[in-house]
Amino acid sequence: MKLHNIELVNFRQFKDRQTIDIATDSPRNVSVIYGENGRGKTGIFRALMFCLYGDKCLSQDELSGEQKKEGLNLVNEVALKENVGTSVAAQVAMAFSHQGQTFRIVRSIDALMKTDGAIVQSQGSRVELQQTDVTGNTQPIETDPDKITALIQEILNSRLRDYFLFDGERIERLTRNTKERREEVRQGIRALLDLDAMELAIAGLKSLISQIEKEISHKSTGELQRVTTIIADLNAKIEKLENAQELGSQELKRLVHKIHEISELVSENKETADKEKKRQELLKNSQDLKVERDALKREMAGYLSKGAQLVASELIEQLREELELRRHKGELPPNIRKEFVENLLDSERCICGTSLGHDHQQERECLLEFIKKHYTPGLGPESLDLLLSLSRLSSANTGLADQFNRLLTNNKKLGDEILELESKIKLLSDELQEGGTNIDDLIQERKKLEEDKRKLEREMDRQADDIVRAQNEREDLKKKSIVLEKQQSQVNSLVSRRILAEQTLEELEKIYNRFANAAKEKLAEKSTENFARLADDETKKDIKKISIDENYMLDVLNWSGQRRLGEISAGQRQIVSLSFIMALIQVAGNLEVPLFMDTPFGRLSGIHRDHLLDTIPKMASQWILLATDTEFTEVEAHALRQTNAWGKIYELVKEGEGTTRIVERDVHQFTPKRKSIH
Amino acid sequence: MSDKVSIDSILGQINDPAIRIMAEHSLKTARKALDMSDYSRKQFVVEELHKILPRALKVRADNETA
Amino acid sequence: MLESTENPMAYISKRWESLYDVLCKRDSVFDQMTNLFTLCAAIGHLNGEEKAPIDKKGIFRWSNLNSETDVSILTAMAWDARERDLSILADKKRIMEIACDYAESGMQYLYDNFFEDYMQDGQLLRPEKLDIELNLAQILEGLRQKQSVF
Repeated sequence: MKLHNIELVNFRQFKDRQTIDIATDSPRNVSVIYGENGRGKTGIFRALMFCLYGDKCLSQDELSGEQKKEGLNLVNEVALKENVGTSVAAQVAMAFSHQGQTFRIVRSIDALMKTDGAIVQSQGSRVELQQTDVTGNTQPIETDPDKITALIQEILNSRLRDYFLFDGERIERLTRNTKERREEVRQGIRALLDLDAMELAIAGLKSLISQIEKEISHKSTGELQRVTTIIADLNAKIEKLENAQELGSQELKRLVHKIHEISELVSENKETADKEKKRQELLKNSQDLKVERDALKREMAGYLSKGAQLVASELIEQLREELELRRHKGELPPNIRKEFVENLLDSERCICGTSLGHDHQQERECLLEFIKKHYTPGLGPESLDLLLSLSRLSSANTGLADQFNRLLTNNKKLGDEILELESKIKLLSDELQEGGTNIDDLIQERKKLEEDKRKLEREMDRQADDIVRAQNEREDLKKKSIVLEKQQSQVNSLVSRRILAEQTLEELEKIYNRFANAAKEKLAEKSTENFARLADDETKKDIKKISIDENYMLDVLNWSGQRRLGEISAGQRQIVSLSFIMALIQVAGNLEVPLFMDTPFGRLSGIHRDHLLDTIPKMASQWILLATDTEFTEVEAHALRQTNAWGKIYELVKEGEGTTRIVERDVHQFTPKRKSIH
Repeated sequence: MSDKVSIDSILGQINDPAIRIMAEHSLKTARKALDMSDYSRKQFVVEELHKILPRALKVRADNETA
Repeated sequence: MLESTENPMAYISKRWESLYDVLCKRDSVFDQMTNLFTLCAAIGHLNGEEKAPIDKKGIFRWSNLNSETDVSILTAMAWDARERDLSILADKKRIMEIACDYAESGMQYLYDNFFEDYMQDGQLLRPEKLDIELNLAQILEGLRQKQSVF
């Protein structure tokens, strides 16, 4: 990037509109901005940073987080005072060229001074990027702040912004042999080369991987595998059982068929045909009798329910006789209730009309006698019912006993018959078994087959039960596995994330190591080169090269390879610093940035100063020297003129309270206030 | 010959597209994160990486089926 | 619990509960518990033995009895047990008490002479294989003829 000019409007001390043209024509690429301390030299640099990046402060301001956010007040305070209560804008416009194209970036920010003197500045700034065509016409090409930032980033890496401006103090600091400063160098290098970004990216990836791993182990329990295995086992088991069932039923068919065959064979055999036939007959008979006996059993049960009647038959009869006797005697209560008759006595009148008063003693006596005779305790109106029941039972009992007897006899008879049949059957079976060798074997075989058949049937029942159980278990597990599969697919997705993250991490680490080493080597190399150009011969006698170790610490080595940073002079250290800084910019930004230096001449020896003035314009594309009157004296001015690189000089002149004016001077005519530093 | 050593160009040369997406995004995010406070940096990077994973994985999957 | 005098409860010993269940359930030997109870009472009376139930368990009420058969038989037994005093004929409560005692001894008789061999832990084993009807019938026959079958 080549800077053309900077235009300031009400920016910091620079009231109203003021412009600086930067020297661009090679070899005259040095611009000097000369002014006493506090005039605003840094202000020019601030304007640049504000314009390019919207920065409201510089790192050297060393503001804390909150203050950093607020930033410094950028609007000229005099202008604010003149317009109390009204918003005033500070604006910086910068024209630059990059890769043959000319651009202009304009940024502004508003502030307001309240009546109490407090200043309120807006948070953000407005920005516009314009392009100038060959005819000199400038048109806006972008107003989106983010896009503009991205474009600028490409031209000029913002990481470098801390390094554009070097002051003598800083240069000095870089090589002082203290821990903090070494650390600063290290940080600077890492920042400049994006190494810290790489390290953060790597750390982030490691964290990411660890998080994913935690999630994976949280979700994966190996349960799915276990369930899947069990389901597979169950499938195999069920299949095996079903096969066995299939085989079993075939075998069963075969057995039945064989048994049937044998039976036929046995029947066909002339010797035993009859016996076998008889045996079958007897078997059938025995079966029929058993059916009959079962029926009998049921009938018996019916009679058992009436068993009490049987057992108590005599007693029933006796009670019946007793009650019958009483009835005969008239002692059983008539249909008239006892209470009714007693009522009659009380009311002293009979239903027929006869008086029953105490003067009719005879009638009363009659009734009392009646009551005594007919109403025996225990013999109530239900006694007649009881008598009736007993009578019925009695007559039923006569038949009952006989029937009962019959049943028992029949049952016994049947039992005997069945026994007889069974012994006959056994006899025949034995005979059949003994007679005729071929029959003997057949019958044995049939017996065995029948036994086998029974066993097989039992086995198949068991298998059927097992199949059902296994199928049910499988159903349940399948439901479970669906749930687990869902979980597993989540795990799989996590695993592929982890793999990608790990691969990226590996790649980044490789690159980082390679890059870090390459950058380090390059830095050391460039630093040494720069040093060779800047240092005087005396220094070069002591110092051979600049080195950067694995911790990014700067050091110088003498010709024997020994470290010498602690032993060189202040001026030499400054040269070392400068060499290193230049190397940083070269490696990180290719030195296509305007270099702002805040007079580094302070501690340099004459030769070193001359070398500096001579070398830097050749190395950097533009060099802007910010010089105070104490450090840029006639001596320096003269030396600079000798280089023929001096293109521009601006003097910062105090105009009033809080305002500075930028005044262009003639390079050839300009006379610094002082003759020399000393 | 350019003295400039650029990580971006190196990352751009990674063969595997999915890894390249991840690597470039992680560096971009890390640069942004450096402007943040120390303790929220890493978290920011990790969160951004979580977000970019699905896209990178999709690129990987598309490449595999192709 | 107040014993109702009009509808007294029949009690058996807890130990016979499972037997009553097995013998009186559906498709088993007896239609109803009242039948078995009355039969046991009759057996107990025939043997002339009264025995009080232990760990009493109520199984039915007077109203469940068949008025023609069960009531007649139990009333007759109670009359005979109390010196043939007719005053007992209307006393349901007393009739039931006596019946329970007779039924208890009657069931004990059946247990001793048949069920005991086929029971384990208070439960009847394989009732379907036992030919209960025949055995009970034979016991009854024996009793009826005042002979012991076994």
